[in-house]
Amino acid sequence: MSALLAFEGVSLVLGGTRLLDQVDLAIEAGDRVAILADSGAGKSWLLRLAIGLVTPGSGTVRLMGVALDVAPPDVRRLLRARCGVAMQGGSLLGDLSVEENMRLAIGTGDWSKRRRGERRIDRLLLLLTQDRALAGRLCERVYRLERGRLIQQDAAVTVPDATS
Amino acid sequence: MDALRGGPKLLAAIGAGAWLTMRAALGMGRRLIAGDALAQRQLADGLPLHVWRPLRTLLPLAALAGIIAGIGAGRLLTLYNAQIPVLSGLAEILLRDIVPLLVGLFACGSVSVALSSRLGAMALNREIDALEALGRDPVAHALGPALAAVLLSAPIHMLLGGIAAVIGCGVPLALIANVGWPLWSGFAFSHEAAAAMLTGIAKLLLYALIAFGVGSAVGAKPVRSPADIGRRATTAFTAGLLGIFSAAALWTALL
Repeated sequence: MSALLAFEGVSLVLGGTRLLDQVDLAIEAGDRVAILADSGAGKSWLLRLAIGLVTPGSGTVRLMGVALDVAPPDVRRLLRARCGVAMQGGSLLGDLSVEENMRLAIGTGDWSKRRRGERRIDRLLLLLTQDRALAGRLCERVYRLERGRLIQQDAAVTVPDATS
Repeated sequence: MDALRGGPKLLAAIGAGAWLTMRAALGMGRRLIAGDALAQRQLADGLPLHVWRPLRTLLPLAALAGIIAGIGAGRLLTLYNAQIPVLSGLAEILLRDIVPLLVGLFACGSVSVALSSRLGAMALNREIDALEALGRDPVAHALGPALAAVLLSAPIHMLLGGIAAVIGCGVPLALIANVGWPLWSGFAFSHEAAAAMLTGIAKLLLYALIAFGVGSAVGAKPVRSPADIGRRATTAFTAGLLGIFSAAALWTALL
């Protein structure tokens, strides 16, 4: 069985600096992997490569068996929709409300999956309105909301970037 | 695109604008068909912004343009008593050329500047990346509702702007040339004037699409600092003006 996320000899050069050099990585379903490195070592770029936001200079990234560098943009988006991603520094949309930011994660695909996601959001919002102390704690940091958005997705892969 | 210069750069920019406009239309269509509640809410937000709010400025502008045209025509009528050619020509040029160009310029000032600024701010706040990370098409999300609202606003703005201009024109005609409202409205609401209004709506749709394409193409360029957003907005406005006037000149010359 192929790995859920695989890096095969991936290199990335940015601004004349070789940030990643021949990285090989294979993450199977159910694995929990933490990537630890100094600031500026390229952890966030690794995340961006993992979900196909950036194309590597050489090598191949396979997400759920699909080579991202040759996959069309729509296929990459479909794969990303199955991942739970939280970007470093926040990835919320400023012109949307908290509820709408959460609903963004539901997507527009499968109807039953959408209904399930909507019920989860309704329960979470109901919980927040009933328990103001919990709401206060949850609103303490922006990344908490991003976590809220992460749990709305039936994600095959969850990739939080320095969010806790 | 930055490496290109002159003609190739212009062609690349036109291609980028057309491609983004098409992707926005297709993406918005898909979202609405899929029953995306967020798309419906964005559309509901975009309609007042692009359709109703501009009317507060647009209607007085159209009435003033009508007054200016009416003063010129009134002076002409005091010199030459040629009511039929002057009034029919005035109604036609007002509805076929002046009002569409006026509303098009207004669309350029609002749509292209608003779009380029919004896209720049979204890129700077990493909202484009956030949408991509969620598997959402950023073009459909950021541009789709605006495109629908802009296309819907064009006929409404043209119709109401045309009426305001006709009313504005009627005042100086009555004061300077003693042309009563029944006579002027007979020319302004004739079959020929209605055909001119339809041509005006078609022109305005083209101008609105140009303003949209320019705003999205300029806004999609990489932004490195908040100051870039202001520069992009200025570029979008001037490029939009050039595009709309070129289209107007071509249309008048060829059709």
